[in-house]
Amino acid sequence: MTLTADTIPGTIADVREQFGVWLHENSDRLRELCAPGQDVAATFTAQRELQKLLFDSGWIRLGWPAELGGLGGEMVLRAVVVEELCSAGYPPPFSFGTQEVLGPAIARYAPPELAADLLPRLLSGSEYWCQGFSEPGAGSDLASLRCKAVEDGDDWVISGEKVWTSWAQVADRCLLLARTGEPNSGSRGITALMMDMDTPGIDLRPLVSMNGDAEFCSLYLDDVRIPRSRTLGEIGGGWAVAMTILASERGAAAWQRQTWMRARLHDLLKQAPDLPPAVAGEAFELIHALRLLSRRTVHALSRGEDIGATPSFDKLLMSTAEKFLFAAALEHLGSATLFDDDPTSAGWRNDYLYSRASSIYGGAAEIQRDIIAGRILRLPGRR
Amino acid sequence: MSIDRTELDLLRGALEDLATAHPADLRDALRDFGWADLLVEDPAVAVEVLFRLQGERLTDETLLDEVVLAAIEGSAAAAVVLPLPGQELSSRYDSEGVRVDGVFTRPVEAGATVLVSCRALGGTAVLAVPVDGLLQKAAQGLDLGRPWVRVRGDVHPGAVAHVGGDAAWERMLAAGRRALAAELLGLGTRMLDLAVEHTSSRVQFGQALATFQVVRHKLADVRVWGEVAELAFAAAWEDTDPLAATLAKSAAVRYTATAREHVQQLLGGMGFSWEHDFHRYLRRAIVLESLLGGASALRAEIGTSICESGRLPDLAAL
Ligand SMILES: Cc1cc2nc3c(=O)[nH]c(=O)nc-3n(C[C@H](O)[C@H](O)[C@H](O)COP(=O)(O)OP(=O)(O)OC[C@H]3O[C@@H](n4cnc5c(N)ncnc54)[C@H](O)[C@@H]3O)c2cc1C
Repeated sequence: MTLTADTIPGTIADVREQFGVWLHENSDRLRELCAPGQDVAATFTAQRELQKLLFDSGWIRLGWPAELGGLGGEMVLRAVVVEELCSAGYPPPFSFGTQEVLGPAIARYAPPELAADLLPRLLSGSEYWCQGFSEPGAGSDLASLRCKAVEDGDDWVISGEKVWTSWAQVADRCLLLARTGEPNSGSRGITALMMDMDTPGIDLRPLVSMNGDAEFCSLYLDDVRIPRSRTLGEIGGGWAVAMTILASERGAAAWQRQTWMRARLHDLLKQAPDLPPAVAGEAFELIHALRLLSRRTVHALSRGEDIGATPSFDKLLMSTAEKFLFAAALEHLGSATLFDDDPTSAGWRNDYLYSRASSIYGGAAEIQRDIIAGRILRLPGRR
Repeated sequence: MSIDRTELDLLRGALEDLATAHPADLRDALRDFGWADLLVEDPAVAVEVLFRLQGERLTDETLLDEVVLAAIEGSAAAAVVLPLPGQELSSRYDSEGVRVDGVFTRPVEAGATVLVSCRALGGTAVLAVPVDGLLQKAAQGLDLGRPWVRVRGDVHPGAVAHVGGDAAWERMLAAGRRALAAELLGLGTRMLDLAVEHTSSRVQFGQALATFQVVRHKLADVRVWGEVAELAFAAAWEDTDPLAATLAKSAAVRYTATAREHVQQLLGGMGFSWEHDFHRYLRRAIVLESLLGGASALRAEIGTSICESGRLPDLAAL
């Protein structure tokens, strides 16, 4: 079954039912694509194919406008697809996360022709994109970033350094934040650009993350030319683009994380018979809390409403739930997670280690608390 | 019936006026107001508005019994024997009769019938028993204002009427937990307000306390759990699964427990003084947190249900 703009299911219940049938019909192929990969390259290849399969059949085109490669309808329909995929036992590809994180900002800020050209590539899995925000000198204080973009004819010329860029080594493009204003222009002097990763002048050095993956890279940018037509939003308006991306990451992408955590808790119930009920209950309670928060965010985004600072709640719960769940797994699964190298034990170990980053990436937990204190509680600031 | 925002605000305003005018006889005033009808027509709104208000105002009276009794049909009982905190069911029923051991939210008049949930052969029994013959003892204890009563005694098998089993108690428990969650939301919000006001106005080291990051982060943490508790409370009305009510109570408990801890610290010496209201909120919160399942009991209950079934319930669907 392939969906078209005329046959898209109208309601959440319809999507659930029809996608369930589709999952059943395609289970052989899906199992193949979701088998644990041997290395990063194989994993990415499998994920791209999974994404292509879901794109070609229409399911992950739901909720994106027709002119950007979608089938129309509400965004919330797509959230159902991810949820059903996960509860059927397939891990959602993390490239899905990239679509939810970067996609909305492209749809909103890229010039229409550029969005129409690029977004379908991201959605269909034919390309993978990375996010070039952090720098050695600018992490939590993102507005202090220094990577410079200077106008030269029809191009921007970029020089500077980016770090912790996840999966840059397999990425086709990078959504880059660069300083176009004065060095001390803060958040007002930043512009968002779309950089092709095969442009000359990009020197890429992989960094291994503590779980042993080649997760991120350092990017050294030496007079890299990006056409001005690749500017996203206003010149000097990159902060708004970045905020849209961070809101999507803290909000909509958290829905996927939550469906995945539910699946992992389910695994844990099966694999750790001695898990104390109170621990299982608290894990469920925390994941459920994230579910409630991110469900609200998904609905609000789907209706096009302003979500303000509320994704900071989602982000805090995301790291709280994730850290609790995997600490519980490590503690109650027994010695295999510490000493054995079978895929199941290695998987839990990996998820535990990765969970440690959840209160750091996408804005550290302290930054989320600052946002809640300032923008939601409206506490007085420092004079 | 569904009620819109303006109607909700009007209702809230009306109940607030009522609570102000009738601090000592709120239950009677609410009866005249027609709150019982509202509880039938729109329980979510009735419970939300009234119990939040009970929390915010630290009312001496509570309509918890009315809410719990309304969860089962046709009961003419006047009150409910609440199980003692720390135990799932603290009263017992066997061939010798009922051994009642629990708490009332207020003294119950002679001649009345009360409901008691008991551990019994094969599960839970909800029984109607005469209050006469039971020993009622005022038990203000930790909480101030509310006239809690410890109730104990034996009831002869002949005087016991069977009202329901596990299913009935499950419904009563869920109703009670939703109401307690709403009341805790009111308490948590007031505690947080106290700390926001205090730290925003009190100056130390030349600046308002609320400008210090440690202070801000503690308040942000309280606020996060408040947000979660609000959503969990709202979600408790959308699923019939009683687990939704358990989750609402559990989230509310986390909220007030975090608020008690951080807010008191941030109020400094003032929060430890008798004349400051804080300790009244703390006292009431601790008692309500523990009724019908405290933090660890609720979590164990949630965990047992998912461990036994081996699956996660599909609550809060998109
Ligand atoms: C797994 C992973 C993937 C990532 N992927 C990407 C990516 O794809 N693209 C990208 O651009 N970046 C990425 N990052 C980088 C991430 O965004 C930064 O690590 C994060 O913003 C924190 O910046 P920092 O590491 O420089 O820490 P710093 O800013 O130096 O902060 C260190 C710690 O200090 C504390 N802190 C910082 N500021 C404050 C404050 N104001 N108040 C109180 N405490 C504070 C926090 O605890 C913080 O964790 C990734 C990071 C991780 C771990």
